[in-house]
Amino acid sequence: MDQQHLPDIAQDIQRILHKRGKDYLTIRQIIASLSQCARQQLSLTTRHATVDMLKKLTPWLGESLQVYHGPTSIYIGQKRSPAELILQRVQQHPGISPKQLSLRLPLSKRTYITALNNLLGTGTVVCTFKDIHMPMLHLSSHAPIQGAPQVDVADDRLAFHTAYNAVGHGRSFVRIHRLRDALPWPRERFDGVLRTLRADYTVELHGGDPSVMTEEELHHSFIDADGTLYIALSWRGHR
Amino acid sequence: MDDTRLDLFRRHNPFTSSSVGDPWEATYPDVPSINEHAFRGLWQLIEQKTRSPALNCAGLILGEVGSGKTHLLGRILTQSKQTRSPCAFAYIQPLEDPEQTYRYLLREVMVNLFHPMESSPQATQFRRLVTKVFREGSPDRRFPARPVITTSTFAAIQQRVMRLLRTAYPAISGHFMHVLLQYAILERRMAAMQWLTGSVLDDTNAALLRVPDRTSLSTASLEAEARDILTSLGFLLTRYQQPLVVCFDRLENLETDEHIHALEKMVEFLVDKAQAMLPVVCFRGMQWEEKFRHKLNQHVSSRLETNKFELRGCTPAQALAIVRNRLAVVPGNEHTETLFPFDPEELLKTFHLGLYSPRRVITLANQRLRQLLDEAPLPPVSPLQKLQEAFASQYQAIRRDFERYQPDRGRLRRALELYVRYGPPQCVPAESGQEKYVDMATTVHLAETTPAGTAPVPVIFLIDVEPHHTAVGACLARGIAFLEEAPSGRAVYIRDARCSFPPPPTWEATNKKLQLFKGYGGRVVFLDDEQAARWYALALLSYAVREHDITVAGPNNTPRPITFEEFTAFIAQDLSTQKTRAFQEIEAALTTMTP
Repeated sequence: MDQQHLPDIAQDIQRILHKRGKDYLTIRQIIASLSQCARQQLSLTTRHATVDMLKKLTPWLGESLQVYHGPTSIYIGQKRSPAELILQRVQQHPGISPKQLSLRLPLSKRTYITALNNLLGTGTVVCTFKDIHMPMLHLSSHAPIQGAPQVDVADDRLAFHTAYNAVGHGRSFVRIHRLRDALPWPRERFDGVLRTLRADYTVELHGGDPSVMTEEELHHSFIDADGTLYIALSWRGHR
Repeated sequence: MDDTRLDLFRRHNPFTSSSVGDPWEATYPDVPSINEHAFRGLWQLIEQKTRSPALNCAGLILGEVGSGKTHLLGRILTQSKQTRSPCAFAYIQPLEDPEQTYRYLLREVMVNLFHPMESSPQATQFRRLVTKVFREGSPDRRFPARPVITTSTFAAIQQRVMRLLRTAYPAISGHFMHVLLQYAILERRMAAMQWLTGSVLDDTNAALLRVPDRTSLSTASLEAEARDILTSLGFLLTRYQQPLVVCFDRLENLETDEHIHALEKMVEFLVDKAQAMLPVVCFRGMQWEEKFRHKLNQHVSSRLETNKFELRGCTPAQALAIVRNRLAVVPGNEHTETLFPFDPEELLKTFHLGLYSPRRVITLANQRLRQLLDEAPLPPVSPLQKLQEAFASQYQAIRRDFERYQPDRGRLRRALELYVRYGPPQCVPAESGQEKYVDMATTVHLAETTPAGTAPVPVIFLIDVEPHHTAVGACLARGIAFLEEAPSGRAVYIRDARCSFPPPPTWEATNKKLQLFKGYGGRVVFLDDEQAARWYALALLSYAVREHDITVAGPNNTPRPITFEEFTAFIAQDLSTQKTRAFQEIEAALTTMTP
């Protein structure tokens, strides 16, 4: 089998999600929208059982995507914690009922209830009642904004790309520590966005010569999970 | 798992090397889709240059460590060998002596043109060109592969070729054409090759070729002549539609502004002055953007950036293709298309986390293969051990192909400086290259005690690769003058033994000077092939270290480049007399030399 021209499945799925403006889709929706080449590569058609589809797709998902087991369907989408998914929905639909919310999330009942109770317990989400005793969920005004910037992934990508252009002045090899300086984000957020961009091949990371860098510059570079130090990056994908 | 098949990989692990040191020695097959944009772009440039030899253009390849810059050059060479209208190819490492910029360019170009293309040493790029010249000069335009040339046929061909080419290219050098034709005569070939590489010929060879003596020429005149020869070569390449791709690699080793300026001069000359020559320059991306592009004049940097190709990391599919290709070179496994012994899905999981450089792909595959073979994880290879291996490997490569490593004063000086500064002598060299014949000056504290104590003793090193007795005599005279001025000083005359030093009665006056030099206590070191190869290996190894081409496992078993400090520790520990037969005569000269 010639695998030299195989498409990148994770990138293809990201493309589908982006095009549909969704953070997750059912497996069948994903398969139906995959490029023909990718489907051929995985030997998949929409006639396959979901379990089979899932088995074939899972190894290709990378760091940025994950499988969600919902109450009625299985989904693939951007990697998020249950709490992040809830916060995102409540922010988009203030006053949504817990039941409506559960129907819109790719979470099992148990996972959903546990995560929602935790958010209510910490006061991140508050619950009020309509006249008809219908419960309504809102984000607390004191809610930490930790989830908020991560909620809009597109904004983060845009901000990252803008910083890349501004810092790089048209260069193709931009130092990561300079980008980090330009983006006043917590380290976890910066690294998370960088990992996501790397995983969908939007950016390519480069090593370099650490011997000419200061301790601080090295600290503000990027070390991946296996301990490899990366000093610069090049933007390879679309914004 | 099938143990018999696994044995194939135990005997031949195809992932042990992740560095292409030299495009002429490319071993592993290519994955066409990797950096295909760069390859296609460069090849189109070559095709354009074939159609329009006067087109002013250059190519720039940018890629970080392990991204495949040298491999891409090898791919151009391979493509050229396979195509019906080949280009000529030259691979050039950093120059050492900016004073000899054009002579260095000429020598390296010619050495590449003289390099065997196939198994036969006769099949060279230069021979291909000469054959075309002779074919054109033959009355019936035919020229057999192994022609019998009589004096009369040679004269007829010479006359016809001269007339044709000088009519077409009035600026073509008559001397160049004259020597080029004599290349076809076996007994004059070596002399012709020497002349064409810009060497100063001894009297015998100069008389054999009937060319003017270069001894009396000034540096500027020698440089002008080198340009003249290159320009004339360009006319021939134009006529026979074989553009010459001149590839400059490992340029992180250009340490001073003078070196960078020398590169600038070479590129400018190849773009604007010489026809049918296409410079292709390789840099690490960040280094180019942050350092070199600002140091080159805008004319050159803009020419380079017009055709800039950035190398990219591998997609998972490309990473798998690298692994598959390497597995297929294992003897006994040539016809297998699977990824055995790897699990394809597991490999994909590894490779799909991002765009990995080819070198990283090979390193990861090597780690996994060793696990599959139940081999203990590679014991951590110390930087010293890695450098020992790299040095031995570079030495072997040079010995295998010694003709390509012509006597090079600059490289010998580089090796000497590394040894003297970081090796057992631990001397600090004074500024080198300040005097015409003195390659290095320093002071040593001799181990021997003298009544006067251990006062520092001045030492000079004279490296000489000149074939002409006048230049050799002048070099020795400089050594004698130094010893006359400083009787307690030390002078060491070093010569690559491939540059002959004929005994009397030949070179009578020069031999007398040699005896006089020795009489004053001067030490003479003739580097035999083994020693010279080690000196050149040390110089080239220093380029590889600066290029970050040599890596060891760092934290978490991830590769990290060997540092220059580790390299200097290797020199200190491993290049002493006891371990390596390379510098013992220098060490002896600095410790126990007696008149």
